[in-house]
Parts: sequence; structure tokens; C-alpha cells
Amino acid sequence: MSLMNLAYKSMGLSESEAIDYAVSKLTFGATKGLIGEIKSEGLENWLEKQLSLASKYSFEKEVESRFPITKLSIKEIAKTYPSPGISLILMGIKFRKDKKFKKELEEKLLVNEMLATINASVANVDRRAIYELEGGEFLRKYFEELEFGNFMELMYQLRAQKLYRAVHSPFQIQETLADFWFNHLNVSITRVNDTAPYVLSYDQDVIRANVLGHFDKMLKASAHHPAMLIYLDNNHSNADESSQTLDRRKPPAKKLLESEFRQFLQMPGINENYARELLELHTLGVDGGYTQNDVEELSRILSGWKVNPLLIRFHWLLSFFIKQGIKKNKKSFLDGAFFFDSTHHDSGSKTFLGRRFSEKGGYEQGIQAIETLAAHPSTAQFISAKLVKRFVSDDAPQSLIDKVAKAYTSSAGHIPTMMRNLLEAKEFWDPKHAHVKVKTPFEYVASALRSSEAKISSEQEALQWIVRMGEPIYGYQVPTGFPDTKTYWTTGTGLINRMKFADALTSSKIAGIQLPAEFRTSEWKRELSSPRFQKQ
Amino acid sequence: MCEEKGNKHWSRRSFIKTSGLSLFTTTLGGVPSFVAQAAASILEPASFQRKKVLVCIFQRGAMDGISAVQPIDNAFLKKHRPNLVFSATGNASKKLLDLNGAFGLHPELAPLAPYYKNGTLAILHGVGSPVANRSHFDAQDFMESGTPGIKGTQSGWLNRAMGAMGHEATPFKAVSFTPTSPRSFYGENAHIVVQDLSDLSFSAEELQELQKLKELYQKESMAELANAGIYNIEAAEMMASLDILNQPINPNSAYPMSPLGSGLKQTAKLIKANAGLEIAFVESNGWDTHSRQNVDYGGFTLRARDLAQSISAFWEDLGTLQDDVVVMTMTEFGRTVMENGSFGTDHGRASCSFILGNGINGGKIYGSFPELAFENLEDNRDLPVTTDFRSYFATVASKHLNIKDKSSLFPGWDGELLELFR
Repeated sequence: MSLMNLAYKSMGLSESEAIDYAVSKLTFGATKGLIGEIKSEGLENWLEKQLSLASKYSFEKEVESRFPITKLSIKEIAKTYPSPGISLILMGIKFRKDKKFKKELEEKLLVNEMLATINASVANVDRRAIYELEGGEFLRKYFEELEFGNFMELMYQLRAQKLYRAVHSPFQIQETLADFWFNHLNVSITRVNDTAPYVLSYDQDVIRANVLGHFDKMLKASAHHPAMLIYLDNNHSNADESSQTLDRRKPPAKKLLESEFRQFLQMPGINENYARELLELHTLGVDGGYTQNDVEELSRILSGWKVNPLLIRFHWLLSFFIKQGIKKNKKSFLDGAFFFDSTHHDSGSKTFLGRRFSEKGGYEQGIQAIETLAAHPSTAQFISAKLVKRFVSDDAPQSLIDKVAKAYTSSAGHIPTMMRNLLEAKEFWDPKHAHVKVKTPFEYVASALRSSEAKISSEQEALQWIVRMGEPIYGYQVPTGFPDTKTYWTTGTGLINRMKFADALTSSKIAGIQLPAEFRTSEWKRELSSPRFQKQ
Repeated sequence: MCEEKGNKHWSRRSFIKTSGLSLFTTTLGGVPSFVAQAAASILEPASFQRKKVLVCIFQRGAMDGISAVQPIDNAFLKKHRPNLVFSATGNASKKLLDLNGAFGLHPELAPLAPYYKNGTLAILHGVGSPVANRSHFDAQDFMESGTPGIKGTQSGWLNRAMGAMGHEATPFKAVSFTPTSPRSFYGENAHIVVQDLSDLSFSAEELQELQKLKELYQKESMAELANAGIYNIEAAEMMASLDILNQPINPNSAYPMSPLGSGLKQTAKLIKANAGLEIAFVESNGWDTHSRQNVDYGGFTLRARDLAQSISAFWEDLGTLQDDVVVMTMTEFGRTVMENGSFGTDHGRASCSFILGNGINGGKIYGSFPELAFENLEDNRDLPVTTDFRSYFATVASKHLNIKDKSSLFPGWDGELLELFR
């Protein structure tokens, strides 16, 4: 690959100005060594290295040893760290004949009370296990007997690894890209009991695994991932009662229908939610040229795309029956955490974006639909506009968006190629775009820690500060992801909390974080609180 | 719905100029804190007009409206929720409080009964979403965005309300006492999200440092950032100058130690301090009562007690300031009419709401409640939704906050308002 041809000189920037500019636009902020490192390496070389799949082995090892849950596969996480709700259900099944358990559950604890506490604990980045919360103590032995891990620790490590990477990773552009793409294909831990356990895997296996790859691959990974399937309800999108299905569907036993488990049953009925957001938010954009009919047809195409029910650690006999049940349907299959349920897949013919999908139906049609969407010119425009907005300015110049969109189309959505074209465009280096964006709270804290040479032994309090500043990372409830505008990040009381954070940080009042003496000064506190430091 | 608002500088500056607060803040530098405090008490900025305050209580988890406000001596309920009905007569230690001969209030809600009796508390039965959805997540999303059935709406209805009020305001115009911004507050109109107001409080020394920062922000060229910096620092200054944290609490007001109690206690402080509060949002969690909801420590029992004690403590704490305030409760849906196998109730459709205020035409139960029989229930199981929650929300917004434009609050909706107010 030829060296990038950066146009900063023609925009009147010296090399060191260009380095400062690139660092502020593309990374989580300067560190003591970074500017010097780029200078000695050469800006072009450094950028190229950031965008290549250079060996990240040693850094990834560092992350894994600090946050061991990141080593686990989604199946291991699902088995070891079930959500509070699932834990209680599994406990209820396991100990259903245990009178002592039932009595304790009824006398000492009110499930709903506890679940409410847990939602708040997740929001507040509390690491304590359910059985360490008031009223939950008696559950400890049941958790231990079932060998359930601490779900709150999973929630903690999910967020802590992101901050750790942002602060310490030498591969900064991959970190800012991971932040951008997660937000683009947002899922949220506010759905504590169903989506949340899978978000760490989503971040790693869908987003991070593909930030230097092709967008269509990331999109497909997202479409198959439990976090997305649950968050946008495709997991319960089934062919309508009147539609024909790929394999014959069997109604659930009457006994089940009348039981308390009916809420978990798969009933006929399409859910359009995922299909709509796939069009509106993930690919074409709201004005990208699709109709309500396309939404409905796409949801039929994707009906039966579900989560592998065996992710949940049922009793072995129940698991066995579920597996046997799936095997009976020739066109159903399990693939990792994904389940294609042929008995709920609408196999009628469909017309999507003017293209006919035949009556044969099947899983492959979903793949074709997603590939069609990824290759669509509206997608190129929509995604490029968001990317330019993220890395350049809220008011992104159209000429620059067009250049990136062209790169998207010619490279089949290759993300590093889009970034290279962004960086080679002269508009990128236009000094009028310098410091026109407001840092998000996460960017603010990461950059404050980086520039203060912070020694961090625990991320917890820093994460709580980020929440207080208004950015519950991985916890934005709406599928749009956090708005990427300076207006949004200057609304509310985020700034006063940034000022409080600056005070706490520089006076060693944040547990788990220490600054060198040269940064424990009132001048540095003022710098971190100043308008200048809020911008990037 | 949340278009760019442009870069207008905060109108609060003009408020400061006229209120005397500017004198206080500009003379603060170098003044010993006790002198500053004395100055603050002299220059108390009470000169801007007190605004109406709407206090929203979201009961997350879906309150069982039929338990809260029960038909008295109803054969259908006795048969189908035998463990959850109370009698209004007899010698039982816990009795329904007869409201109007037809409905009774749950015994744990007793602290609310006096307000019903004196005509300031109204009950709205059969309220819910026109879109049948029994998922907590979705139903809360629909209720808070104000657009049932549409998930893509970015802003929350209360944020749109903040924008629609369209007059000068202080940083404390809208405050949510929650760990993170509630869906109802999503959007571009400025607001405060805080669990504990002390998070916004600074020592006199720190306030002096903030003064210097404020000068930096006043010189900042990015308007959004300049405004936000000034706005935030002014919020901190108001915390001190209005002595918000130290507002006295009515000694007879026993606020429960719950997030709801704490949120309402702090709401009262802001109101008493005349901080410019107009919309407060507090949460009551844990209404998802699938089992043993009515036993001594049952989920409904505890939550109902917390709700009634919190509201009552708040209302008594307000004293004469009650006139400016309306409290409204909301919950994402109701629960099944029939009890389930574990003495609880499952996800249903309509629930009920409480509206408290001196301008409320209270002492009445609004809405429609069918003769209980399977054929009159939604899907043969749930209390049907007879009042769209938007009718309820829009009525309060219109009558109390004077927001007349229904479609700006609830895009695409043009329903009727209710007669809840005098």
C-alpha cells in the first residue's frame, strides 16, 4: 500500500500543527509521549499503522488479564453470568421442590424489589453482586450452588474495558472507530435482563472484530447477534398466523399456554422493529428511499432469525428436548449463538426494494437483503455523513462526505479505505474544523486521564463520573445511539460535573486514580475545566 | 421533533440582571464566606415570577391499578383475585377506604385519602396506551416518548414540553432525580439530571474558582459551550445563593428513605427556594408484582406505602406553595384482572393514575371502568384502555403548564382533553 498523501500543507498547516490536529480529531487525546512518537515515526506512517491490522496481541493480552471476562465466549458468558431475571428463573426451576428456598424467597426477598434495585445498581456502575445487596444475602448459597458469576461484575468489566482501552491502547483510531460503530449499531444494557448479558460480546465480536474490515460483515454479525436480536425484538418476530412457514409450525401445548411461561413462548406475529431500524438507522437512512411496504417485507424476510435458546443453561434434559425439537425441522439450524427457526420463517414471496424474493424463502434471503442494503448508494451516503460528522464537524462539508461515500462504494464498504480517503481529502485538514466539536463525557474523561498521566488501579469511580456527566456508556436506551452533536453534549448538567471531576482528579479524591504531583495543581484543574479542554 | 434550537444565549442572563443575583455574584470575589452568606440572604433573588410546577412520578414496572383503586364488593374480583381483594367493611385490620361507594382505596394508600376527600386528588381509571404492548421496555418507551407504536422518536415528551413553555427560565427549570436521564427527558432542551442535589453544591472557595471559570466561558466563541458553562456555573451559584440544600423541611413531613421520597424531598427544596423549577421527574421502581403482591412485605404493599407516604409528605411539606404544584403519576401499563398462581398479577393493559393539586377538580374518579366480566376485558383478561395516556398528559400540560399546542407535545395526535381541572 502506498503511503497516504496528506493534504495538510496545502491547507496551511505545518507538520506539527497537522499532528496536533490529527490527535485531537482521531484519538482520545494526547499523552506525554504520543506527539513525539508521531513526529519521529512520521504522521503518514503512524496513521497507516493505526489503520492496519498490526499485531495487537500484546495489548489485547493486557486487556484480558485485567478484565478476564473479555476472554469468554458469548456461550460461556451466557452460562456463567445470566442476568438477574434469568438467574432467578433458573433458580426457581432448580429449587422448585426445595421448601426452604421457596420460603426464603417469599419471606426475605421480593423479586420485584430486588430487580428494581438491580436496575439502579447497573446504572450506577455498582460492582456488588445481587447477594451482596441488602435483602439478597440469603441468595448467596444458591448462586454458589448453581455456579453463577457476579452479573454486576460483567456489567462493570464491559464498561471498564472500554475506558481502559481508550486510555491505554496504542491503537487509538481503532478505539475511536469502535466507539463510533457501536453507537451506529447501538444496543443497550438498559434492557438489563435480556440484552445486557450479551453486550460485551457484541462490542467485541460484532464491532471491534470488524472496525478494520468491511461494513457489510459488521452488519451481518450484528443481525445474527443475540444482543441485537433481542434489543430490536427480532427474536420474537414470527410469520403471521395466516402466512405459510418454511417448516410446519406447531402451536405450543395448551398447558404451556396457560402457564406462567406463556410470556416466553413464540407466538405467530411479525415484529417490524428490527427491519425498520435496519433500514432507517443502520443502512439507508430515513430518507434513503424505502417505503413502509419495504419495512414489512424485510421483516418477513428476517422472520425466524433468533437467539439460540440453548444459550441459557437449562436443565440438561430440557436442553436435550429443545435440541431434538430443532433437529426435527429440516431447515432450522443453530450456528453459535444464532438460531434460524424455519417453523416461524414466513416463506411466502416478498418484494423488497423492487426485488422479488421467491416463495422458496429461507435464511439465505435475509443475507441477500442485508447485502443489498450494505451495497446501496443511500447507505454509502448515510454512513459517510455520520463518519465525517464524527471525525470532522457537526456541519460536515458535502464534498467531503461524497469523497468518503465514493470510497465506501469502490471498496465495498471497507472501513480503513473510507478513513484513508477521509484523511487524504484536503477538506479534512481545513483549519476551520479545528476544535469545533464538544467532547462526549467519555472522551472528556479518557482525554483528561491520558493527558494527566493518570495511574489507574480501578476504573469504577471514573465510570460513575462519566454517568453523572450524562453518558451512560452502553446504556443509551434508544436505537439511534447517542446524538453526535455539540448541542446534545452541552445540554444538562454535564459541565458542572466535569468541573467537579477536574477538582476531584487533581486533588486525589477519586479512588483508584493517582496523578503525578505536577498535575495535582489548581492550574491543571482549571485547564481541565476550561472550555478549551471540552473541545476536540 | 427536536429541531436545532439555534445558538441563542441563555435568557437567564437577563434574569440575573434583574434579580440582584448579579450584584451578589460580582461582589463575591474576595469576600469572606460569612459575609457572602449574609449578602446572599439580603439579596435573595425572589423577584422573578414564580412558575407553575409539574411533578411527574413514573411508577416503573406497571402498577396494578385494580389493587390501587378497587371496585368495592365485586363478585368477579372476589372470584378471580381472591387473595388480592379487600373488604370495605367489617373488622379486618386492613380495609379498603371507601371513596364513593363504588370504589375503595388500597389500605396502604390511606395517606392519600384526605386529599380525595377534600377535593384536590383526582383518580383516572382505565388509562394506558392505545398500542397493546405488554413489554415494560416498549411500553415505557412509548409512554415517555409520547408516541405509542413508534420507536424512532428521539425526544421525550417532557423535553418537548420544556421547549414548548417558551419563556425565560433558570437552570433548575427541569430536574430529574434519577441516576441517568429518563427517556421522558431525552432531547435538546436543557435540564438537570441529578440523584442528589449536593452533587451541584460547592464550597465558597470553590465558587470563587467557578467565577474565574465563568469568565473563561463568557469569552468562549462556541456559543453552545459558552452557554452551557455559564448555565452550569449559575446552577451551582444558585445552589449556594438560594441555600437550596438547607431549605427547612416541615417537621411533620416524614419522607420515606426511598428514591421517590428523596426525589420529592429535593423537589420541595427547589420549590421552597424559588429556584425556578417547572418540571420535576421522580421514579418509583418495583411495581412489577408477579408474586405475593399483597402480603405484609409484598411488592404492592411496600410500593403503595412508599408512594402514598412520599406524596403526602411532599404535599404537607409544600404548605402554601401547594397552589403552584400539580403531582401526576404514570405507569407503563396495568396488570391482569385475574391473579396468577403465585398471588400476584401479570402484565396487563390499563392502570390508574393519581393527580393532585389545588386546581384539580378532585374527589372524583374519572375515566371509564367496565362491568367486570370476561367479555368486557381486553383479550378476555385485562382492564381495557379507555383513556389514551396522551389525553391525560396533554390535559395537565395544557391546563397547568399552559402548553396549548398538543401536536408539538404528541406528534400526530389530536385527541380530546379531559376535564380534570376546575
